Amino acid sequence: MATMDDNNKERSFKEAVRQFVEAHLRGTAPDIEELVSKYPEFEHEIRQKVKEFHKVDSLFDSLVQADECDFEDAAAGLELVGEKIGSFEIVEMIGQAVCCHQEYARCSGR
Amino acid sequence: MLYSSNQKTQQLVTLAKGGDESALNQLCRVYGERVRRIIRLRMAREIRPRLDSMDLVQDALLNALRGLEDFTYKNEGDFLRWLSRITQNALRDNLDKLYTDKRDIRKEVRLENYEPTTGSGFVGTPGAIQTTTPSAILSKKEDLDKLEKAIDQLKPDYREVIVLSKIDGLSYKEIGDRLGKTIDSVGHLLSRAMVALTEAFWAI
Repeated sequence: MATMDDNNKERSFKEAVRQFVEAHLRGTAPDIEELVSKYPEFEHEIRQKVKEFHKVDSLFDSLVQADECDFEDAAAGLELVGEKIGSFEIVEMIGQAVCCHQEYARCSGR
Repeated sequence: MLYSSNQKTQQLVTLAKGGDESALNQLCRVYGERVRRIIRLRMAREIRPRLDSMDLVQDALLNALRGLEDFTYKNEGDFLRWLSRITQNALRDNLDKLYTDKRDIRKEVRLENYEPTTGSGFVGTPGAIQTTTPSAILSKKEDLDKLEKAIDQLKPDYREVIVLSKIDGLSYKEIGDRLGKTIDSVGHLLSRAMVALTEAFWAI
């Protein structure tokens, strides 16, 4: 059964994590080792919480910033337009699957 | 020469402003899904299912991109926020019209079932946010779905401050002016909101 002291410790470690998050969001690069040294009994929890926060925070970055390969993929499909494969010509990209491009081909010259 | 995504976007915006259809389509393909997600996060939950209608989002996005001449490029984040804001306005107009006209919503195609036709002049379909491998793509999509669900579980003031800061990119000062709070209170509120969001995300 958790004692009042344990509860207080847990509360203060959670508040310390919140302050770490606030400092990070303000762009001041807080030191996790310093935080861990203040609450050694919660080291695992602190590292885990900070890791989980960084993962969630990074999702926002991925939402507002394109990756290099987004442009490559976007251009790759369009580059195939006009290509001829046998008696077929790729006239337009109609969709894109997860790992390949689906092209619409029409029979040319018939 | 290697270009950053910021430079590539700027290049495409310049070309699209000059009337280059291919650049316009590339912008749609790179940013379409991101714009849809951003709008979903901003909008009320009850309106959100309407955003699964691919044709509405696509029309709104293309209309927004055709108004590029009014936009001055500064950076990728600004461009995406401008695009999502304009698309959201266009979408709202479309939705208003939809309700006014009592359009048959059964004719709408849901996003997950969307198969574009070759008759459309629009080549690029907003695809999934893409990374290097199929599993990474799937994982990122799942994570973003989870993020949306986690944000839905937050208290309204937590949700609002996260959207203003992380989605709309406002400074603490701008958020404070909008919410009637000091800069310190905004920092405190945002950190509590992000801690709550992190807990909600990992509990899903």
